[in-house]
Parts: sequence; structure tokens; C-alpha cells
Amino acid sequence: MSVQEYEFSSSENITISQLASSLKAFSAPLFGLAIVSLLGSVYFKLMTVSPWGGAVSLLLGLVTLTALATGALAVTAGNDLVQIVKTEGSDITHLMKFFSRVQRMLMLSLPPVLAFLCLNLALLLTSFVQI
Amino acid sequence: MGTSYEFTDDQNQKLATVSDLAKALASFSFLAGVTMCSLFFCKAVQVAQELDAPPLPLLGILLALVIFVWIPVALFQVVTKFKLIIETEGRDIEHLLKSFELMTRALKHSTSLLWASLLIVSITAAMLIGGLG
Repeated sequence: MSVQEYEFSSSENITISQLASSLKAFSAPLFGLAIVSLLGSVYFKLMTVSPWGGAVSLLLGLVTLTALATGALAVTAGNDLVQIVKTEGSDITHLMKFFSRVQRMLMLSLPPVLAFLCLNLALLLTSFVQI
Repeated sequence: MGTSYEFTDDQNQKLATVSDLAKALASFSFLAGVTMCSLFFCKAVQVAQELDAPPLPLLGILLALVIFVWIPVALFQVVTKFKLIIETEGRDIEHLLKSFELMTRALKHSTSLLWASLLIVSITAAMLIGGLG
């Protein structure tokens, strides 16, 4: 199926460029968070013996996964947007590629978030039982 | 170049899928954030009597609020604008760019908040580990 093309104007390209930059900038603290939470996870796993230490280690491990997946989403999606601005004649094709990438990365981010939610609920229930 | 581009049915289907996934992710993240806040609140109550207890549970609430509650709320706002592309006709590019502008603003705020949270947590963790050592 041929795709009807549309060329974004200069002012529209500015908006797209700003979004691409923001996406890439957003990935930096996410990767930072992934590193910090990974270090925290290892620390709690090795240095603590209480049940809370193990649970916190697992929680931080999941935070690491989620942060990495979301960071990767931001970088790859940002690169697709840059292609819209840099090239001519295939803006809609690049735009749909951007959305396909976003869709894949959102699907990747869902399982860790769901696991994180289930773990939180389980820990919360355990806390209430203890109280 | 005019702004009279109309996304095809296939493209609208793709946009709807992305929108639904983003909404699902935002919803589950929000729920995870709320449960995480509750969890850290329970822990904060448990350690409230210990005078030397580190403020980690409270920092946990702060982080959970920023990452898993504020960001999903911002994502919800973007998805709401984004849905207009699929639901309306004749102004697809206009709605697309408006949702992009909203997403840019939300991302800028999220980036600043994430850096601030990360800095606070890193300093606290370093002080805690140093104190234990």
C-alpha cells in the first residue's frame, strides 16, 4: 500500500526537534536511575539479612529494568524523530516508524511495571498482616 | 505546505494501539506508585520511634510520587490530546503537534524532577553507607 506523503514545515520541524531533544534528555536521568538502583539492589542483596533487605533488593532490580526500558524507548524514539527533521519526502513513513518503535518499547515496559505492581501489592498485604 | 493531512485507517489503528498501550502503562505505573507510597508509609510508621533511623522511607515516597505518579499523570494528559488525532477529522497534524508540544513540556519537567530525586537519593545513600561503614 502506498503511503500518502506529507512534508512537515520548518516551524513544525522545530516542534519535532524539541520533542526529540527532550526525549534524549529524559533518557539520561533514567539511565542514571538504572545505575543507582542497580547498585542499591546489589548492596541490599549482599549487605542485609532481614526480609526487608531482600524485598528492597528485588524492588530496586525492577526499578532498574523499568528505567532501562524507558530510557531505551526515549533514545530510539528521539532518533526516529530526528530522521523526520533531517530527511525530506518520507516524513510520514518516519513518523509511523517512530510510533512503531514507541509501541514496541511500551510493550517492553509493561511487564516490569506489572511485576512491580504485583510485588508492591504482595508486600503491602504482608505489611498489613504483620500489623 | 498545508496542514490538511489525514491519517489513513491503518495509521489511525497504529496510533490507537500506541495510545491504548500508553494509557495502560500510565494506569499500571500510577497504581504501582500508589502502592509503593503506601508501602513506604507503612515502613515509615514502623521506624517512626527510632530517632536515628535514616529518612529512607520518606525518600521512597518522594521517588514513588515523582516517578510512578507524576509521570503517569503527565502521560495521561498527552494521551488525551493524542486521542483527538484518531477521533477527529481535518486537523490531524495540528492535534499531533499539540500533543508533541505537551509531551515536550511534560518530558522537560520529568527530567528535572528525576535528576533532583536521583541526586537526593544518591547523597542520602552515600551518607548512609558511609555512616554504616
